[in-house]
Amino acid sequence: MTTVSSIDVPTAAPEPAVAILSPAEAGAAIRALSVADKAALMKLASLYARKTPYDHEDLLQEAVCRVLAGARTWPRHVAALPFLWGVVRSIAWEWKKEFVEREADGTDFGGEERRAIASLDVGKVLSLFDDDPAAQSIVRGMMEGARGQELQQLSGLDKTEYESKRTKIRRRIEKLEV
Amino acid sequence: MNRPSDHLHNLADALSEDVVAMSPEMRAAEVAPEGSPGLARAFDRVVGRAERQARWRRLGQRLRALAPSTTLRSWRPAVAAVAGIAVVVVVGDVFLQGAGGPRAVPASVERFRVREPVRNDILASRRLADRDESAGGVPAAAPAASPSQPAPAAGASADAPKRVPTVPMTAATEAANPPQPLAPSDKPVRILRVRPAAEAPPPAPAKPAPDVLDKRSLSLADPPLSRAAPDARLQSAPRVAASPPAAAAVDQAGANRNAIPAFAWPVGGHVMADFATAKADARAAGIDIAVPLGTDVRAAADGAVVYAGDGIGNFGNLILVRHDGGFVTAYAHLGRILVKVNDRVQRGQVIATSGSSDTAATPLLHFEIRRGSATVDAWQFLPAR
Repeated sequence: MTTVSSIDVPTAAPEPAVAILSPAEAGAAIRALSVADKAALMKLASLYARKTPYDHEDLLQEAVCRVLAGARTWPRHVAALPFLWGVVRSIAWEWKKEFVEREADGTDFGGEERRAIASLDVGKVLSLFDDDPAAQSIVRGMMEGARGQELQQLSGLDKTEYESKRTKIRRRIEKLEV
Repeated sequence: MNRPSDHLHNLADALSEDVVAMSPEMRAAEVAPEGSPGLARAFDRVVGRAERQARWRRLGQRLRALAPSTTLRSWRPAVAAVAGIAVVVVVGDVFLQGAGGPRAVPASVERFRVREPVRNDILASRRLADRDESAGGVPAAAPAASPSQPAPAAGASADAPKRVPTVPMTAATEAANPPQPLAPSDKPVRILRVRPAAEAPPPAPAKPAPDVLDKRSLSLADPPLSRAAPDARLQSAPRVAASPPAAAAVDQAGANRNAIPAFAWPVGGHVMADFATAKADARAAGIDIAVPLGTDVRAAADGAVVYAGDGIGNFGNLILVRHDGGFVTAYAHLGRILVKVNDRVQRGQVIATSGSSDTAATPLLHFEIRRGSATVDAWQFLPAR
């Protein structure tokens, strides 16, 4: 009978630490955003705030606050706009989920109103493109979650026409939102 | 099947992807037309608010990290311990009083009554003051004063009853301070107890719980009367207090400690949620009053501003005002703040305009009356609407 006095466990090589921005660096990076990026973030927050009971400024404030408080780590290789967009997006989901849960618990009684408002918003967005059936079909596809090639096929347009329709859609909806 | 809000989320995702994927040059041309400087300024304001909020959060995180995890894991054991101690004190008091004295009501219970008179007591004192005023005579002493106590006569001297329940003016003081009609004013009038300084403290009368009765009379006299009680005699009390100390000593410090300020409604408007319905939400244990944007928000009572800013999460622009008697009023979700820390404010003074800052979805004023560290039911202290 043999006894094992020690076992050599091969140690895995430590994963390289992901370089992240400190809160001070994050603050400086946010302050240094271009005017176009700042305007884009306001518009993006406005798009996502539609599905929460809060204002788009509240949403953006919470996102920036979490970054500056260190609750969200910012990898150095990620640009400011995509990173902040991701934070805004996740907080919008979180807030929506919180209200769905409160509604399920019976502690929130605004669910019916919010659903009604959301339905009105969907109708309002679609009615923007009553004069353009192709654009309307693209918007419907976007709402159902279709993306890229699938969306282009759905619209029946070639790539150039499809891109110009998307630009038109974005501009009209932005006018509605902000 | 997707819910409508999911439709909006998908749409937001699709449109955002386009914006994020653009080159900076294209974004500058596409996304930032002529209105972008305004949006950029709004963004800078949002970032400024977020920076202040983040500082508070980091401070909170550090405090939590410093505190021993066992002590701050939950506040419930601490509350349970305090409640247990209070029960033991009350029960023990009842037991001791039942065994050794004739006093029927335990001192602890009576003390609670004295310190927090119910609304009926306040109304009773106001009714009495009104009645006296309409009769044109000298107002009666505090409601709890015993009828057996002789009313202080004009020209009363050291031979007069040593315990003066409220502020019985002598002929000399009345001549020096003739009653003047009181103009309608928002300023609260506080009754001060005046006691001749040269005299010893009043001996305890031979009846049950003299100190309790004394305090009760103080409590009924103390709630500052509203504008409905223009009592010239009461108004003259501070002048008496300002006279040489040899003539009278005013127990003003004691009055301030126990006084309940005369609170007024900070704004008019529909009450959306009150203390009872909002108690479940710890951050909303007050009154939410729906008001149009920009409505003047007035101080509920005289006091000093102890906080003015937006650094406390969930309350937006917030003002805290400290009043006599350990009361603090809070005005949250304000628009523009018109006062600063350490400012003295008068009852009815405009201190801010209404807004919908922070988590308020609609324009409203969130109003709280706090005593010590706890929120109290503001309806108990506000006049009927």
